[in-house]
Amino acid sequence: MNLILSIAQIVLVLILAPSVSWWIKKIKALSQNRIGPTILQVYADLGKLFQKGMVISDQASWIFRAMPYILFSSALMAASLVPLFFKSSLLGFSGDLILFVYFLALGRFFLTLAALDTGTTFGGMGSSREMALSSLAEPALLLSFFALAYRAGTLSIEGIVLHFSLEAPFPILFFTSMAFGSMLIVTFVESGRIPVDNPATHLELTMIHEAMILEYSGRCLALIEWAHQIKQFLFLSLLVNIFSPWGLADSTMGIHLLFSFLFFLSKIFGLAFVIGWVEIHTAKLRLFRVPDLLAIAFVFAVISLLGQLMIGR
Amino acid sequence: MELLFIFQLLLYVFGGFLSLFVSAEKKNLNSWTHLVAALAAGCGLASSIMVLFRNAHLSFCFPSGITLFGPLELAMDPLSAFFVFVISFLSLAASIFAVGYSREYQEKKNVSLLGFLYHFFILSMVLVVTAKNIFYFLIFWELMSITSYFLVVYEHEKPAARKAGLIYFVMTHIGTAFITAAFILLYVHSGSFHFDSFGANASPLNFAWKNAIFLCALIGFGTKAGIIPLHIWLPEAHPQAPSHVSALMSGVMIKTAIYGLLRFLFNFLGTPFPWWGGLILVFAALSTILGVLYALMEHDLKRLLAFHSIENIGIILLGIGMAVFFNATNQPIFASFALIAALYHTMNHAAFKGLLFLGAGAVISKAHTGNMEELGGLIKKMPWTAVCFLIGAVAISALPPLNGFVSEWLTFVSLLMGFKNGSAGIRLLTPVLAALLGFASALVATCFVKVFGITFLGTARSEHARQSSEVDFSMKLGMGMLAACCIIFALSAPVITFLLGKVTQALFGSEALPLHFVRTTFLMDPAALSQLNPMWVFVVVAVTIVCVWADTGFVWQRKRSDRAELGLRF
Amino acid sequence: MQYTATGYSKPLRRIFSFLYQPARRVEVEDDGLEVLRTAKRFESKVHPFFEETFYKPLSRLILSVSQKVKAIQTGHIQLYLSYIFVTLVLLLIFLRISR
Repeated sequence: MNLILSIAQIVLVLILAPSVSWWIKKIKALSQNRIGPTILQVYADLGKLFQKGMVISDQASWIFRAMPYILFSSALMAASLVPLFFKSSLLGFSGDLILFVYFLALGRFFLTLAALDTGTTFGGMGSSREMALSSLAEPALLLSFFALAYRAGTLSIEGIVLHFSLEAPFPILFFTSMAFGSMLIVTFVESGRIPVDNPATHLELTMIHEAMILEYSGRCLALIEWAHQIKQFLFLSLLVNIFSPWGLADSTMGIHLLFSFLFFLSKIFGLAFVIGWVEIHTAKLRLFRVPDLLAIAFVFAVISLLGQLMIGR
Repeated sequence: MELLFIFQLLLYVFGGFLSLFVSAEKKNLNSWTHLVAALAAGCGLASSIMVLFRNAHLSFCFPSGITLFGPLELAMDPLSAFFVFVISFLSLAASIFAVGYSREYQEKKNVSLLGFLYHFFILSMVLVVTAKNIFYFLIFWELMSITSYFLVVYEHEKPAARKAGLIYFVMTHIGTAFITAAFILLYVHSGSFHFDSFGANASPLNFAWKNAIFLCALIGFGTKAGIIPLHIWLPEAHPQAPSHVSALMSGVMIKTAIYGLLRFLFNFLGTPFPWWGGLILVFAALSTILGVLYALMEHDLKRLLAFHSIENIGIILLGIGMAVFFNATNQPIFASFALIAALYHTMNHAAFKGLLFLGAGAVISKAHTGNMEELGGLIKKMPWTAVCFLIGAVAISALPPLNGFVSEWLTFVSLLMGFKNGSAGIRLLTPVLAALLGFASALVATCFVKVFGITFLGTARSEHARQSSEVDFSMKLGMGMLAACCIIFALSAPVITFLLGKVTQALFGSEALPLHFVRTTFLMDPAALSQLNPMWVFVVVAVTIVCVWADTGFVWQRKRSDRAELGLRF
Repeated sequence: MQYTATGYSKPLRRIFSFLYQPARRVEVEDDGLEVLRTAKRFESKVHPFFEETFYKPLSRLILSVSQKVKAIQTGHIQLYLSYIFVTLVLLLIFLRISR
């Protein structure tokens, strides 16, 4: 039963990930006095891309064709480590935070590599910017993870979620709010949202993620887009499940699971609303201002760790 | 076992003199003498694996004419056997590679000299890690330095090579001076030249002596290992040597310095002080971060790889620093785990750095330049080299499922084990160091995306790159062997951890140590922080990628007729 | 136009400029007419911190000291014989005092 539920979680990640993108688009549209897309539009876009043919440059090698599969697989494998509405995840017995970060790093390695494959300028540009920013995001993310792991006494994601769900609310919020701030900033960097990168831009010189996938079309592009949405969804679900884990089902009774799932959905869409709100109210930062933002994230994580050490558990 | 070891030494000597006497004019003949080194490396591999599995101790004593310092004694305890294993597997691959690679030097230089120096270089490294007497250790250390100096200045017509040789020569002798000072202090205290008379068997050292010996050993071995700020010779010397020699220098020669440091820290000096661990951690963090930051700015393939060696030595020292710290606070199980992480990374680094240097050598031999700005598009011309180089790049960036990830995971966990014990300072420092390790590894990934992308992908940037072609069979075999090693070291992680547990058991003396770290196929840490199953990770990665490829391939396939009509490439 | 390796590492070079202290130099040649450039040369380098801060001053110090010590090597054999004589006298005095 555990196994079926763990697999069901991964399937749900696949299904729900585009809907979070839709929600953010809808919020932004409504704030600009437009109607915005319906929820079916995001799925229809993916479906359309899957059915279209691909045009591949002569300069490209097998890496160009292999990359979307590796990227999508890495997103799926990272998804198998995160518990959504049930207390255990599929690969949780053999992996922890570090494996989660490195699965995403595997996908990013091949993404940036394939951007250089066609020999275009924009691929190189997107690739170098993406690697520079994500290298700076990594210590902030890892340190906030470690601050949480220090509190929970374990590195496994399931273990951290379980530990926090058993503690009373106030002590958690007090010690870990800094880590939350740090991880929220990293979420903006990793999902390419407005303070860092504009997902709806048409100007190549302002692109980071879009510039890397400029050459892709058809099925490959669908996989890449979907993988990006899954990554964004995973970061949001980590934020939600670690920092407000109450309501997570630990038994396999239908009622508990249903309640947990609905609660989880509301938390995810609530957090996505916050992301959308930040996107509406801020402007995109200059590229060389983003390291300052990431330095703030790192300092938040250090303060979280320091606070726990000085005040005690 | 004993026979294999002696046979190995004799084969190296035989191979060296054979290379010298086989005429360099005979076309291609001299290249085959490298196979003697390959055979010797095979013997070394077999004997060291047998020692590790059976947990035995070999010992040979040769009476020498110089009775002042004692007889020439060579011994293989598990730690020495491990280092002989690392030397042997890399020498095997590099020797096979050298058969094809030395043909490039056929017309221009004296290939017999190259073979002679090469054989004696490997021989000296094997003797350094098995010597048990101060005098002979220093002789073999010096032999190693001199043969590698001549190999660095092998292309002496280039002024850059001469300058690099000079810097290397001076720095390595400064290191040797400090090592000699440390050894002399030990001799004066214990009165004997034999390694076994130090450490637990001798009377305890007093405070000032212990610190002085430690500092001398750290500076001396640190110069050879390439710790920042003693690293300046590494980026000069490693690029100038022939590529298979660079692979050996970067993969094993700097590890003999780690061997020496481990002998001092855990064998000769008794119980360490906690501040030693802190000092080593500081230098390790500095080496890790600055090594990769300087590597990012380089455009010469081999110079860049040399800077990465500095960074990986930093990672090894992070493990060693934590081991020293745990040993000082009397926690042998934790210290054992940290040391296992360091030793595992030593082995993995030899595998993937050797692979990358051999790949760089293959590229340079065909494209006649090591400058990335003049390469490009080589993946179409040299597909096998590209795949091997990609495996090396993925391994060094510590990405799952390859071996770099396993040893970096072990290093992360051994750093974070500081959570459970230690003063508040350590509890704050180690997560920050772990975050910096993650930062460094992300930068390594950046660097290797750049290296692989600019060198192999895109279009050629110069005529040489356009004209290049795939390398010959022996070079492909050498690279392929190391690529296979990267995968095998990841898959057999439980076995390797178990064997390394036995090695650390010999150093720390606890009972039933390896069982704490490996449970069936899971790697577990003693502080119960986490667990990892590298085989599962490998299986999951492979299965997922295959499933995704098959699924999207079959489900969303356009009909063949449509594709042909549109004339598009899919 | 493909991306170059120098261009690829530009963002990091700028972010960590406090460490690298990059220096660049652009030289442009023209035939007197500013609008028609015949050649252009670009050089960019990263400051090698450890060589400049520790090793170059140390090696300069050693070389200057050895230049000064070279003064005792005049080439006159009479001076060398007097060195031997003075050393012998000092050694005898030292032995007498330590008795």
